[in-house]
Amino acid sequence: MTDILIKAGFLFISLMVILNYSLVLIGTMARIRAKVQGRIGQPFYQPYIDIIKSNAKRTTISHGVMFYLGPVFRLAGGLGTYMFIPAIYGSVIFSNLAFSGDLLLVMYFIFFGQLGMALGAGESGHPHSPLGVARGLAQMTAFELPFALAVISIAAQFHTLSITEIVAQQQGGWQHWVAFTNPLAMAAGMLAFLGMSMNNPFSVVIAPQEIPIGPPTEYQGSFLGMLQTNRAIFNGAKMVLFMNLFWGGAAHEILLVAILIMVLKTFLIYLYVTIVGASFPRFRTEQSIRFFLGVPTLLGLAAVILQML
Amino acid sequence: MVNPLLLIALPLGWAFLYPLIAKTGKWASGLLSVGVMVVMTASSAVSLVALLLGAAPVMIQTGGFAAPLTINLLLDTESAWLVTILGLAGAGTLAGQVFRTQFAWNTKQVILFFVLMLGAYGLVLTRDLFNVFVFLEISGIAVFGLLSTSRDGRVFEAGFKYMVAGGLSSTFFLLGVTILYLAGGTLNIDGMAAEAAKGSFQSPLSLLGLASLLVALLIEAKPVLANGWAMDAYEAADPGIAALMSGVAATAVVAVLAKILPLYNAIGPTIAVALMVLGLIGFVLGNLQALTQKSLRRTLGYSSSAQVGLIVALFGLLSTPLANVVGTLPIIFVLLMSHALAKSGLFWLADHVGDATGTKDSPTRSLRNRPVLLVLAAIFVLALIGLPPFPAFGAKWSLMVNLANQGLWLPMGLILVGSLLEAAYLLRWFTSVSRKDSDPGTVDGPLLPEDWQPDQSALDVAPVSANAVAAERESDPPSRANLLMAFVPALALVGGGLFLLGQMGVSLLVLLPVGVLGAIALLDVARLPVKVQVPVAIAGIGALAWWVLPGLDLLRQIFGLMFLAGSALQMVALMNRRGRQPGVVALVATLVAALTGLLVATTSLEFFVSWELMTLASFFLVLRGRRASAGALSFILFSLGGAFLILFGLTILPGLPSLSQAGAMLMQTRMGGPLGLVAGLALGLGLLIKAGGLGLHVWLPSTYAEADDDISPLLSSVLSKAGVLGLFLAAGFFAQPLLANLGYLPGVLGGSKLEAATLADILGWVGVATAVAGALLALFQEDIKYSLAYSSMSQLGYIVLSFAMMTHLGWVSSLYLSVTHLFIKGMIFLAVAGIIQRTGTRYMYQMGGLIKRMPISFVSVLIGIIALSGVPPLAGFGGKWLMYTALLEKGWYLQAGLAMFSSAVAFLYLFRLIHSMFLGQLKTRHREVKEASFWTLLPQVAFMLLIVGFSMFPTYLIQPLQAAVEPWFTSTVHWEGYTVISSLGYWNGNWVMYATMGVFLIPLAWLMLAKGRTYWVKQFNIVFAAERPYKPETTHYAYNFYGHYQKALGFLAKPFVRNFWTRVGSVVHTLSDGLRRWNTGNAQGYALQVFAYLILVYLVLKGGF
Repeated sequence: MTDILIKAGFLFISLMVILNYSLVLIGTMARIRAKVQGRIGQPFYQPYIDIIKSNAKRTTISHGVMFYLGPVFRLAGGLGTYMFIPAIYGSVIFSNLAFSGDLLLVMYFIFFGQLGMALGAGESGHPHSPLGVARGLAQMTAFELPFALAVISIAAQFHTLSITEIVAQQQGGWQHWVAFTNPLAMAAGMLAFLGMSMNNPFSVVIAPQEIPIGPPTEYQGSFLGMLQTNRAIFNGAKMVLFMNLFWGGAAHEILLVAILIMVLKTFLIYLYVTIVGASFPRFRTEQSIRFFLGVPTLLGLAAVILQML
Repeated sequence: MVNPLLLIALPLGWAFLYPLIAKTGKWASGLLSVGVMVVMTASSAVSLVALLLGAAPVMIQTGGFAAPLTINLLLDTESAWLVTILGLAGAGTLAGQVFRTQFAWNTKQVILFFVLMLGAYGLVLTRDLFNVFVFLEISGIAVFGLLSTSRDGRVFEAGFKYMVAGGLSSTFFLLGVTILYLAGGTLNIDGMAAEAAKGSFQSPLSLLGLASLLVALLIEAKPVLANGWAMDAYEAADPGIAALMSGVAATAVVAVLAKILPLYNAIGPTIAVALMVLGLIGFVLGNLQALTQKSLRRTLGYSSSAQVGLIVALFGLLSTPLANVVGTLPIIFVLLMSHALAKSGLFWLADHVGDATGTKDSPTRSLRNRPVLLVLAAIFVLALIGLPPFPAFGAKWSLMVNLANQGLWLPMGLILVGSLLEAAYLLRWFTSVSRKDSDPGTVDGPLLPEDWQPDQSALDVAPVSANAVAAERESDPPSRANLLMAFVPALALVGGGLFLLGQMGVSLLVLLPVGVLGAIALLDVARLPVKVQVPVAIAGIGALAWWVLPGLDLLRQIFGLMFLAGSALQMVALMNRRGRQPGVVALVATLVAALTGLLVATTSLEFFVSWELMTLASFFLVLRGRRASAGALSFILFSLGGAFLILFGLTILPGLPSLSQAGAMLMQTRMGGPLGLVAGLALGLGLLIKAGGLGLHVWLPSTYAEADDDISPLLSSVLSKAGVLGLFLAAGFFAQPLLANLGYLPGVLGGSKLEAATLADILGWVGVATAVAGALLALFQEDIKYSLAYSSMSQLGYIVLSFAMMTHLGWVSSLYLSVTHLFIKGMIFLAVAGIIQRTGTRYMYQMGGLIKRMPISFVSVLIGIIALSGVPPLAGFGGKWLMYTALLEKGWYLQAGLAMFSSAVAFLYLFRLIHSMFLGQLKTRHREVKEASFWTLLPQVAFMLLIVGFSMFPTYLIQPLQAAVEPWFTSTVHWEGYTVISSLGYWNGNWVMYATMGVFLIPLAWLMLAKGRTYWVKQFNIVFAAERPYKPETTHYAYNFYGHYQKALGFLAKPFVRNFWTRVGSVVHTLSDGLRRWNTGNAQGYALQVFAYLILVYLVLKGGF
């Protein structure tokens, strides 16, 4: 019992760190994007304000049970995904629940929240919600292929699917990182990450600026608050995953340094997404499908075939 | 023993007496006449039994002198067989014709019938060649006389052609007899045979004599290429007369052919080859010609031609020097007998059903409201094709085994192709007469309605008759006595077939399906409703499981549980049906029994019998669908094609080992040589057809989708596993290295991967291609059942892929996927059945917002799609984890990538499915829809519990599967508590479940605390672009859901495969049509064909120019 309580405590710490860091990161990136576009932009703590405001609404409108549960599914998906990933190599506190399953579990658990959310949004009855979901899913199948190939290439390279083990194999200097030992897999994976982040040029899924489409269309109040919380955690989880897979993970004897390494690496990963997003206009859905099944998939294939030879 | 003379004297005497007897009235004279035939048949049969038990043959010398001075008659085993066959066919036809309500036979026709019988008996019994001529003429004149009494005016022209051809045939016969008499100095057949053995018939002139004799008999038997004259007669004649032409006259001629074959020893081995070539050409081309006919009688005529061709080919096997083929004669007799009975039965049916063949321009009327006729039609059609349990099946199986032993693969292939063509036109007719009135008969893919009308017929509103035109062709319905009598040959066929199979060593358990069918059909006859039958059937299945399962090995037990328990659970949904539904429960129970047969089969024959029985039971089940006839036809044709491939693969192995023996043996040695590879290829293709492998799947969507809604779950979840079972049993065949078995020495290619390549590698690629293609196709369907059908195909692709890995983990994942697919697909298909029943539509975009109306169905589909897509924490993830781990361990990286892509695509169709049906806007007309019925929900809830249970504790599922695979492969994973650990990774289903619950419940609790006051509003309470939407129907985003995906990847989902098979079909039809034109209907042309045939046969016998 004590073990479980301690584990729960560790999980709480781990979650709080990633939540707060991600919220700050999202705010910062929004500000950076604004600067690029010549605007002043929001303060870096704007995401906090949003979440507090949403949760403080005194009324909510629900379209049904599934609608009600949608954000719960979504947040559960984000939390779960993060919890199955070891955030910092060698740290007991940040190893989370990684013993439950390996990379395959994480890859499939990502869908848990998305599916639940999509179902909840579907029950809203608003046609724009499923429209966004259809686009998102279609795009997902496309970037999933290069991503899967990259993962397969890494699994073939290290003969393991355990994320902890993959990070362990990359220790001992930057030259051991997958990014340098298996650059093709890294390229395929990082291109796929652009789609996964749903930033420009792959943002038609949510089309955030003009007409709101996608799951959040009908959500408000504390429902929306949960979605916003999840956005932070889920983003954090994905970045930590990619850091672990391609960029050597975060490891140091001193936990604080390790956390700083994580912060730096994930910041750069997100910065890359933001730079691409600020530089390119938006694709239509079928264009992004064609894009992902083109060069990124070829890179992934090359990465896999190199491992087979 | 009957005196052979009596068999000639009795019909002759009766023919003379009949004008007097006819005065006693229709019934009395009819009964007496049939009585005479029955007496003769019974005495023939008794003689046959006596001879088979060892009695001496009876030889009668007429006129007080011994042969060759006079004519002698011989009743030996062969002739006893033949007279029995003739008697059966004759008695049946006579009974059918004299007891008709309309157009019953008059005195003249009965007399002519007896004259014909006299001639036929004489042909069988006489041993004198000239006497043969006399009897040929007698029967020929009798047939001609009968022909002239037909009601159809065309018969006079046909009769004229018949006379011309018959005259030519007689001329040839006399010419042959004269020449041979000149050379041999005797007309007694035995004497002539002795002369032939002495070498008296070696001169070129004698060769001409032999050739013209042979041609004369072949012409009488209506061979392909020179049979046009007879076809016109078949078409124009009254069906009773056509039945006699086919069942009696042709059989008698075959008897003569058998008798004179010893004369042809003079020619040497050429005769065997010649007969085989002529016969097989006849069999294949005859069936091909039959394919495009518009008249059923003409089709049956062509079919008779083809059957005679098969018999002639068998004679080729029988004659020296191939005479050592054991058991060819019984094969011939069984084929003849079952042909005579089945063909007479079909001609009789043609009389009452109409002359249409069921092609597009020759629509039949439906027999749906005449179940008794339908049952008879099924029996006769199946008996004629030669499917189990009918006698012709036993004969054909023995034939195949014999041919395979001699390495005669080409004849084997030709016979199988011919049989498939035969099945094509006979079953096309059958599906056409058994389709529902609402069935246009052309539905082989999803149909999109043009407007928003609900699908009326799904609600069982009175169907609109589509067969009004065809109904005009309807002739008189058969009387009740007539119907009862038709059951005599039908039951004789069933009983004879069962007896034959029993004699061939097929165990009772394998034949159980036939018994089950009969037993539950009796409940139908007793007019018991479905609600009574279902518990009986389920109890029976339970007893069967209790009895059979404990004796099986673990792998078979797992499949046994899937087959028996899976079916029994889904049968609960049949309780939903109201009133009497004859056949449903019987067929389902038969299907289950046949599936059990697959498990207990110990020989190839038993496996194959079970396989065919399973196919037939499912075919009849599918055929019951509202508009399933076209789908059912393609299902049965592909299945038969697959079955024939399996038969080929099973029989070509030396020593005829059973599938599992051979599989296990090859798994050890991995060296079956080229023969083993060919067998593996045939088996692989055959089994892939059942599993719906890409390229061979075109039957699958329409079959699953168009079957009744409560039958589809069974087909998709249980039946599809039969192919998987076959793959597991045959595993060794696919594990053979290709190059090594073809004779390449190891090391020639430097030990590259190519050297280790096996059929399983190809199978793996087919599997993954099927998975991707199935998922992409499922994506673009508007019709929910088609979407699910393609989804099943995709899932079967994963199962095949995992199986093909031939590793421990691969097999475990294949079994795991099979079991979970059973749960999931059974559950979703049942839920969909309930929804279709309530909403009256299968189109997803016509549904929507049903979550509040049908919450339990929603939960069922929700759990189903989460599990199917492989999202943790439900059991589906276990399958994905096992499969990917196995793939990566095996080094199949590219396949793994494609499988991941396909599983991502699966999300698309699964989300669409649940969204379009349950979420979004509730349609106005569905506002009052009720939850699905209790009986539909019950099995779903059971499946739900199973899925959740195995998700929590995957150990209890995976460990038995591991143990089942242990005999083949040693385990590569181990367990630590609930964590399964492979060489690559690990997974703890238990912890994942707890973690998921935790992360779900905590936010839920938070939401409930923090949400403030919640207003619950309806779906339509939305605003977009600051306007209220117009109505729910236009607000539900569901139609063409993935239009953008279609733009990007739609080209992958084009019907390449369907087009290919359509092309194949049209090529076959074009060929058939071309051949059909050979018979122009021109009498001079026919005469010319007969002459040309003489020259052809002469050249073949001579061995060239």
